[in-house]
Amino acid sequence: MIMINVAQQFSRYPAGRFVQDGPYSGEYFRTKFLAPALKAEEKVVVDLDGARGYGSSFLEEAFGGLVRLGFLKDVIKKKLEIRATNSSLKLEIDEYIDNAVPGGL
Amino acid sequence: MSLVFDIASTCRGGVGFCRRKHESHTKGPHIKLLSHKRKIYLDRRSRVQHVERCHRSIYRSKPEAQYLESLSDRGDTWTAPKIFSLVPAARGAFLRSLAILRKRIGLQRRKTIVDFSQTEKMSAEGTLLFLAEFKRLLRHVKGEVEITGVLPHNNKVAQVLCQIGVLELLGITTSIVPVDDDVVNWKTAYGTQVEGKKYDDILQAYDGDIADLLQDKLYAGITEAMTNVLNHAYDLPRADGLDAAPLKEWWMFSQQQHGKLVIVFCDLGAGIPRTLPIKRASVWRRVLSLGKTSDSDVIRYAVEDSVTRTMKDYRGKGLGQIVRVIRGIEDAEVHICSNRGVFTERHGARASNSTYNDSILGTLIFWRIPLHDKEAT
Repeated sequence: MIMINVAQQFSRYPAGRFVQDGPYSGEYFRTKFLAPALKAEEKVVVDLDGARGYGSSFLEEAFGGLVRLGFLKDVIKKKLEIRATNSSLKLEIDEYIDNAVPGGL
Repeated sequence: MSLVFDIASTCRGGVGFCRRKHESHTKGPHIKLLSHKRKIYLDRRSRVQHVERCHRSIYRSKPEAQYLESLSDRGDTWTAPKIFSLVPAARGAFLRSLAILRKRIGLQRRKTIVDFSQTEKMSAEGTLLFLAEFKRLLRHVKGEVEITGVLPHNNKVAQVLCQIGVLELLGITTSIVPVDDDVVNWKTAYGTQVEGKKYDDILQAYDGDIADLLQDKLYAGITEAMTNVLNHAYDLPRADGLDAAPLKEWWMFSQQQHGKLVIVFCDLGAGIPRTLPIKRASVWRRVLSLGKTSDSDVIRYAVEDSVTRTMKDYRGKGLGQIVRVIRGIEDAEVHICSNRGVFTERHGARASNSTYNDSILGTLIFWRIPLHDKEAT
């Protein structure tokens, strides 16, 4: 199992969709943390607490982008555990994964 | 399945000329299937042309350069407006003044004395738009135009201009020091990227004064606004008659006043009404079918569909998140001004929209949130 604490390991200020948008974008988080962890581990826990907040562009690109990258939705949901005090974030991420279309990247 | 043919690109100069070599033309023009890329290009081009036609028919037909030409402006002095604000009573005079400033500095590159002596009131949204416009003009002329200033008679206005750095930009040395409570808490931020850290530059001071969950929503709304700037706002040139180098800039203010927190965010891009038809064809088609093509209607539909102008369905939550910041918070409000349109949502009231004759030539988002509402969720 691998634990990813966004605020501590990535940034307290996650924001933006693409790498060119800014320093801590959803695409960068997916590329640097999420995708490698999901490839290597059976269980990936992402702790969202501690960051300033999460815009929809960041979350969609980080998590929905996994589907477009080729990860199967079932596999993502099986391996990924989201921890967040704000429970709506989990629902939002689930929605992005469910709605993402494979092969869009 | 429908087939689309690109006759225009295949045969030029009428029947008989063909790109393909060594083929007889006796059987008439050749036609070929459009490539996917070409189809997207033609579709996009037709939508741009269509929206420009619609807007020309709705608003004045003169392009911005001709509008600027028609504004009378003599002497070396630009007299700043009495009120810097986008409220209906002041909007016309304020935007006309900005257009004159743009004309004399940006187009004519004339020596200018920026005279604030008549200015009596500076609202956050008007001041931010002025600051953004002025800084953009300074960048555009690259120091080739002599610009100086005259201090305001009004002490509060002088403090504000000092606090936000306008006096420094004009090279005015003064003994004025911002001391009033409603001035010293004005914070400004500027960026060309999506930088969450900038949120703290203007809003960290309110940690503890507003509920954590509201802070989360504000952070999400503001960073989504930044993301929109980077991905959409500057996709078309700004229709201001200048040929300024494109830079994906945004500006932000926060201000505490009468127990409320005011946050204003703006860009000087093409505006939602111009970019939506290109980036979100399905919404634009609906707008057209309903015959509601005014700027404020377009903003309203964009918000209602949580649209951020993109061809991909998965990119479409930004504007919705910007508006959702105030939902559930008593006495809170949000305004989205883009070009000639304004969309307004207030707690407990139906959303409304208005279209004006004059354009802010960009997009400005204004949130007003009561500070006492720590329990807001």
